[in-house]
Amino acid sequence: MISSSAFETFLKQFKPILYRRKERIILPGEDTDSVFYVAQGHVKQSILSSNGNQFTPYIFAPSTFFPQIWLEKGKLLDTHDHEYESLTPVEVYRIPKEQLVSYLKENPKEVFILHEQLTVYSAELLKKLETRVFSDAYHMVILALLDLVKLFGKKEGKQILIEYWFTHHDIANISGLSREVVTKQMNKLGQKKLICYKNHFIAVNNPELLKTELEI
Amino acid sequence: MKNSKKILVIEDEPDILELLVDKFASEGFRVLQSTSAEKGIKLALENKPDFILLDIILLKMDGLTMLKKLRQDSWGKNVPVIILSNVTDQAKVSEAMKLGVYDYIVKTNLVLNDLVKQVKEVTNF
Repeated sequence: MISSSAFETFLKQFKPILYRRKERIILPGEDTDSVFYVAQGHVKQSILSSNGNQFTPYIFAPSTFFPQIWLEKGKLLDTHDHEYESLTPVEVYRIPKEQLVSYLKENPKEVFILHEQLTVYSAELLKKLETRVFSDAYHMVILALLDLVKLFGKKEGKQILIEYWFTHHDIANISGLSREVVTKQMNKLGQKKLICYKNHFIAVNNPELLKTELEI
Repeated sequence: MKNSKKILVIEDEPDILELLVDKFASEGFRVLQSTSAEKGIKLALENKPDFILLDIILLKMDGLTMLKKLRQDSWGKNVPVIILSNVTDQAKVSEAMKLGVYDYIVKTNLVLNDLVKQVKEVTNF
């Protein structure tokens, strides 16, 4: 997380932009000359197939930048066929690439923070790829839930509450499955007492036990 | 009506309040309404609605203060809220997001059918 006073000062020259949930921030194929910094909320990166299916390889949390793979010989790399959409209401800063590069040259220590973010991003992509290739809908729903636990989870007693109002439709969008399939898998997880609903939120009874269900 | 979902609308502009109340009632919701945050918080804590639509700018206590009070309550901390805002309220919406809101709407861009669809989805209507 870049949280230095130098970065805060740098950020002040840009105006924060708000997006409602489910608003597109970068369209598929859009060649943006900027990098976005998430100040509040969460942004999902989606890949859209030619037949309209959607898959979410990554969700960007506060204090992260997107797109992640954005600099090679001055060109943005990973916008093709990807879109970036607000998963919750978000507040972002749009930073022209050249200005961010200049800032990083003046503050080289912060390059490590970006590198760390890129490493986490790559590891998550590999995990998603593995699950996508080798497993089924049940595993994909579990992976989506574990992502949400990591990003929105709050411990309450023995349970972890996913503190945003996610519907089966939202989980379908994240996991790249249909709403009907997600409902079936969620019911299965409920019957196994791995998840339940508590005060409007999905509660994971024991994340470690849920993780063991991922073993293929 | 017994199993219908309860929604609370807090809005001090009479035309918008009427529009929202009529629309949600016609969609089968039980609608509670208030033009002030003081009455709104009382209605919320007494009736525990499934969803709250909250105007951010209100006389006396504003929507942001009401949201803070709501989030301090053991029931109110998790109830989904959509903030009703104006184009000029960006800083207040940003503050509201820190307290946890499901979404926000700029009133000049309000599309009733989209709003109803969104509320139905999150309340499993």
